[in-house]
Amino acid sequence: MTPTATPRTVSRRDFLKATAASLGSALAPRVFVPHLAHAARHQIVVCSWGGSYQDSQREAFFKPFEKETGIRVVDTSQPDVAKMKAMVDSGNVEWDVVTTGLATVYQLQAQGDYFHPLDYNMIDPKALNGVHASQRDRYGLGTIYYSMNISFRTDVYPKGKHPRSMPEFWDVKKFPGGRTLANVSGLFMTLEHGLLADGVPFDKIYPIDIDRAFASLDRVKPQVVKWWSPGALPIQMLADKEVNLAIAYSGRIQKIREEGVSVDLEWNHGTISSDFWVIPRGTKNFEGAMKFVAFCMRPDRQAHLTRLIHYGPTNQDAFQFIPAERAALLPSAPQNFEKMLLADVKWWAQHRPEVIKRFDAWILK
Amino acid sequence: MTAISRVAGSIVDARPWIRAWEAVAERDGLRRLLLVLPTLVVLLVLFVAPLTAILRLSLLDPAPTARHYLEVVTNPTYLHVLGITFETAALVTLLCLALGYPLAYVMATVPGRLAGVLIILVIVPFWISVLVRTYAWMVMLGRGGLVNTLLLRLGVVEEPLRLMHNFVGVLVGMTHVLLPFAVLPMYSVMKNIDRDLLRAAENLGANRWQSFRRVFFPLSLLGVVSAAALVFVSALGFFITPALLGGPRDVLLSMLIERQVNDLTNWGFGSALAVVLLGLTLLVLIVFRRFLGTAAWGSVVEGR
Repeated sequence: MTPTATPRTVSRRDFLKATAASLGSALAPRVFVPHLAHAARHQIVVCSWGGSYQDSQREAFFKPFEKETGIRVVDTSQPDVAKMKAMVDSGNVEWDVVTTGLATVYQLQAQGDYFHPLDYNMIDPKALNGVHASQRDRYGLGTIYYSMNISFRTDVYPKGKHPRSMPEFWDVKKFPGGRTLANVSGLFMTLEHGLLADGVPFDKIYPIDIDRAFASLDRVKPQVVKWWSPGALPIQMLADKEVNLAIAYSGRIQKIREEGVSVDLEWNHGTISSDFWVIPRGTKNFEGAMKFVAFCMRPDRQAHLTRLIHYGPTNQDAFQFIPAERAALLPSAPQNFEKMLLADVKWWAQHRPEVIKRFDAWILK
Repeated sequence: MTAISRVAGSIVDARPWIRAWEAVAERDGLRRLLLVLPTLVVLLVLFVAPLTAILRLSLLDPAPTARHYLEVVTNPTYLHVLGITFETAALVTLLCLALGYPLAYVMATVPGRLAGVLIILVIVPFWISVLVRTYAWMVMLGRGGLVNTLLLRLGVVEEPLRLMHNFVGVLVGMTHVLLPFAVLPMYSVMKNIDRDLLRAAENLGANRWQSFRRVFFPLSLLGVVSAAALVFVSALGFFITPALLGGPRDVLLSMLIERQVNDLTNWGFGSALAVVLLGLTLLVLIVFRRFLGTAAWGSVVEGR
């Protein structure tokens, strides 16, 4: 099961075709990027998660970058890890910059050489002063913080009478009824939530005691209506009153709260992680890609993004451009950050297959 | 040269080709081969080649190994999930046949114009994406959904029933998506049943029920078998609907394959799971053909 770095024996191009043909349209490539996109050195192809997130990125990053540097940004979406692997394996790399989690990066690096290390000489060191060390990785720079938090319907649990910690969230006597938690498969922080519920302090979470985490999950399991995996699902379940309690992404909760749905979240005992800008091995415009990554780290650019969507800047200097009432809604605002656990993605990159295998067996028991 | 003579010239030029085709055409086997050649090429490139690649990956990723298959066979989780997958597919097939047979019967027996309307009603859902239809069911089946609201208003239940995020939701959603696959083959077989046979049965003294049971039903069995095969095989590979409407334990094999391929980039193991599912699916098809298929044919031939 554990990935190794043995030389490849099977053409990945074959596999991409195979996946598309046999697993159906659900897994087929969803976008088509013309090869001509690379014809010119003065453009880069950026791949991100699509939807309202990418719309915000277009305003805060892509357009101003084009204006300032004259390098055109061709944007495309869904940086599936399988697609990334297939591209690099087949030598047909269509993306120059990709946004993804660092765990994905290290998971792939364990199987081969899929990412180009960043050239930190091309970035003004002063510009990264406000960036936490964990966000300045060999292979990428953190672009946004997102968090998963205890979320609740305020018409059932008015603010103040809601679960204020993971042990309370686990307490089915005090807070009865169905809940939804994240399925472990997508690298969501469910084991960490289990340990927090069991009283483990932040600094003792990693390396994760897997047995203890599952023992804790055993206690909440009967009340879990659904182990969600697309991030839209817990939001929909709260909005439709399918559940009154959920672990959900803070950004999405803030959005529907502003739209008038009676929900809110608790920052305490949340888990915070980040998305990175990375450069795939085999990019045809490394220089342009580096310029773009550096541009996106600028405090003013990161502040602009937070005006459009509820994600936290990775550059703390951005907060000087963000009004206090907006900052209060963002996971990386200092007062929120300190209440949450920062995910150790390198632990996950190593243990994910083993944890998922166990989770799959556990869920059926 | 005038245009006419140029055209005439090209016709003359084409003669050797026509003659060659006729020569080929005389040899029956070769002509048939030429006729199926395009399809054969398409299948080879788009179907056989990728399947071979998957088979190779399952045995060769990252080095020649049987451990992926050993893992599938020895880890009880995967056998358990295979069991759930086949059980779900079987139940969905039964539901589709039970709901689809009467509908197909009505479609095949009502006057032409009404039948046309019914066919359109059956086909329309095909044009809507499975994801959209699944979300529509979430709106219908939720605690505050249409069904529960109605039941609460009518006083049938006192608190909302749990109709989704469990096996009920999976069955409802999958049956709805797959119903047209059951109705259409049954309808086309029923439509072609010779009505004179029914009249003959009635002339010989059979009442309507007897003529249905002893003439129409056996003749329609072929459609039932192909409908069952289509629905069952499609259901085995279902992904979106059970993932969204199912509960914690409704894990189908396709979900595990997707996770291995897309999340864990463990293509060797993902491929092994896919090959096992494919192999078992083929086995099911063979069984369908062997037993039910010949039985249905037999009853047609013997006119039982």
